Amino acid sequence: MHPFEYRKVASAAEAIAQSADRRDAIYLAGGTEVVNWLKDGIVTPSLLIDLSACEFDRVSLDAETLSIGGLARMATVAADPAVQQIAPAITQAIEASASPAIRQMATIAGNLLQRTRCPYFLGARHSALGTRPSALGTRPASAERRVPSAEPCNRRVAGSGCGVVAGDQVGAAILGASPGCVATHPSDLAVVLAVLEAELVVQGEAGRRILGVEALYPVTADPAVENTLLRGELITAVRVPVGRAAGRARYLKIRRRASFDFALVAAAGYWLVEDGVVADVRLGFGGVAARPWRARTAEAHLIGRQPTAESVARAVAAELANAVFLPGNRYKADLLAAAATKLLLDPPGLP
Amino acid sequence: MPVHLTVNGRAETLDLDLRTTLLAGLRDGLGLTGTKEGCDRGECGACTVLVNGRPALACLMLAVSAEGQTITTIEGLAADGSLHAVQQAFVDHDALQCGFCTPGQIMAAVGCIEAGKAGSTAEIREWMSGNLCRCAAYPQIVAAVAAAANVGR
Repeated sequence: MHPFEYRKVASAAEAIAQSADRRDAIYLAGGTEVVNWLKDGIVTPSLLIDLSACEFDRVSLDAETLSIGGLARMATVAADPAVQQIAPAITQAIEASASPAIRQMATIAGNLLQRTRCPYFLGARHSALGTRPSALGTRPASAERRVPSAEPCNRRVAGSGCGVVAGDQVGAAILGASPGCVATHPSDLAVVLAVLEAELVVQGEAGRRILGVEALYPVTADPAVENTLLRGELITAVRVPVGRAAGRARYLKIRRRASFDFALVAAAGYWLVEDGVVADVRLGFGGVAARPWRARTAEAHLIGRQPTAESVARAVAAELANAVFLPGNRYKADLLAAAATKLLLDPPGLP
Repeated sequence: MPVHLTVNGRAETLDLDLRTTLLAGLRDGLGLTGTKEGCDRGECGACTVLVNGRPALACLMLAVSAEGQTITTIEGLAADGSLHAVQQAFVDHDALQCGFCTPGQIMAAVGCIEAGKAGSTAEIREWMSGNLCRCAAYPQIVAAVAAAANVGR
């Protein structure tokens, strides 16, 4: 682990001020991402700004908005009665994320700001054996035990290439990918928030701004761009509009293991059927792009159609008209259609 | 940098390199080697401890950011010389083979039961899914957690 200075701050304003003085500072919230990245040398800040004492970690509700603090822990949010009542898909998405202990630590903003990754981005872990440091005192445990990734990855080392091209393509993106990167964004929550049209309250040196959750992510995957936050900016809250979409949307995640795994594909949304046809629908996909993928083409395709599996399959096919497949991820087209069909026709029950 | 923690009911002060994880601080700094290092990246659950009563992965926490917190490790679970109900249930149900994952399994089980997520086999399996057992003692682990949850009721 690269040496760093450490400061614990008590407010967003203090965090932003500390960050302004140090161009390469990074924020530490739950730590479930950043501590791994520090160990792997993926981030090498000279200053770590610990947000854990800040107070933007509350859930609040008024007539129009469910507001979730950026520092709220995932487990706390999933168990919150207001969240479960107003936007149960948020609870579904969180409970499908990571493992219970990680959800106790990880924060909502941190979840949205996870790095887009694939096995090649994480490749360093496979070459870390045999470099255990000596006891504490002479050399800190967990420090400097990782070696640089032996795998090509444009997100790890610009211009090093992409290991997926000739390698493991099972998880690779099919929408919005670039030649340089076909990794997917891992957040389950982001898919639900895109469908609920949630907004982010973002604070930085220039003040406060509101950002639609979809606008947090680049439109087309770019290995050099993780998200659209400006340097030093923080997500202090997620604001979810109260209403039909929040109340009716559900989340369905398909993964290789029954639990504690990233999505192969995921679907979020709902439809409303009136007079035998789809009168209102929202649909979003996970596991298909370096961003949560709001399926607006599929939505437009479904309006006025009969609520059948055939309609869903055609709508998903329309959404995937511009999809680019690799030999190892062609299955995602069928699996996505199946997931969307199950989500809309037979939505998963609430916890 | 000095770090002040309450570990298993005792006030402790550690003088640590900033880069030390809570896991390394507990094991190498305090000699509490019951908490195990498995993957050291949050994927196996062997390092599960309770931070302020809730399960946390000690490998993903910098010790310095745990300043002022209350930590419970496997060594702090037994009270007055008798095993905690979850420990006793693991013994009764033979819920281990090599034992390496067991401290993490037990701490996660305490959290699972506390959270009220031990109501059925399926629920226990889901809520214990972050704790891997390469001996695959899972059926016995689930049985032990279910039994301990019933004891607590």
